[in-house]
Amino acid sequence: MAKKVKSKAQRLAEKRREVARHRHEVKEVFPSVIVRADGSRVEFGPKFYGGGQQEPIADADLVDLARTFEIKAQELERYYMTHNLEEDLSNEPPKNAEYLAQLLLPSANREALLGDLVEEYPGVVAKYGVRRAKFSFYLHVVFSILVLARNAVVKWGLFGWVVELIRRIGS
Amino acid sequence: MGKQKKELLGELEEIILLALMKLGSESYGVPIHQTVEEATGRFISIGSIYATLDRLERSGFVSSRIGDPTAERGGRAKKFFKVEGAGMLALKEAEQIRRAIAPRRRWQLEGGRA
Repeated sequence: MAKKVKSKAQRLAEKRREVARHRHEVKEVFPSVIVRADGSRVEFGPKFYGGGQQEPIADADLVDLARTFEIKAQELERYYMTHNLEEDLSNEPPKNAEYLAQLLLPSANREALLGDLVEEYPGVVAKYGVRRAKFSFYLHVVFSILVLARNAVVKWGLFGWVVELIRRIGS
Repeated sequence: MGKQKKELLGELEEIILLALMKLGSESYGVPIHQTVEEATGRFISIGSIYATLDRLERSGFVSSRIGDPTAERGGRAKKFFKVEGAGMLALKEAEQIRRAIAPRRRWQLEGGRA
């Protein structure tokens, strides 16, 4: 059976559910407000994690709880970092743009042009960040398609270009 | 019929030819694009560079050769360009035209009245 490819929206929804589950877990186990045995209130951890456990707790347990809380917070931090690294900090050019260029650019300059964009990409990431680099990559691909497609239309005529496009998509 | 029409260089064509001359043997897409963008201070798509180079190649002003594929380019080859004699001549003519017009233009730029 063919493997079902998840759309970006589905992957995003899945990630949101996972983050919500993490938050819920932390909220359940590690409250941000704790009432000590003598009745005084202790707040620790960002409110983001917190619930509101109001039951008295011994000082000794509080130390253990704080330690566990720290470990859990580190785990959560690591989770977010990994999530970001996988999704946003990848040094690879956007595959969709590459595919678009592969499909629509005339074959004469396609490989050289895509190679140039791929070679330039890490430099743009280092200078402007991943988001802008991806945007710039798309921008270059779209403008290049427009310019080179216009030239192809001038050369072969619109009909010739459409035929060539269909042939390329079909192959 | 009269004389054969001389082909005049466009703005981008002239800039790209000058960039090719500056870069020498390392003239392929990335350095050409960077040189042109730095010189003009404008966004120029890499496709426009290739379209112009195509035009110049058809006119016989430049020639191209395909290099070896490299890993940093995702296994894709570089396309190197070189200015030919006709390209040099076209640049020289463009420069001559500019010089012929320049004195009046320079005087205006320095604040004189036309």
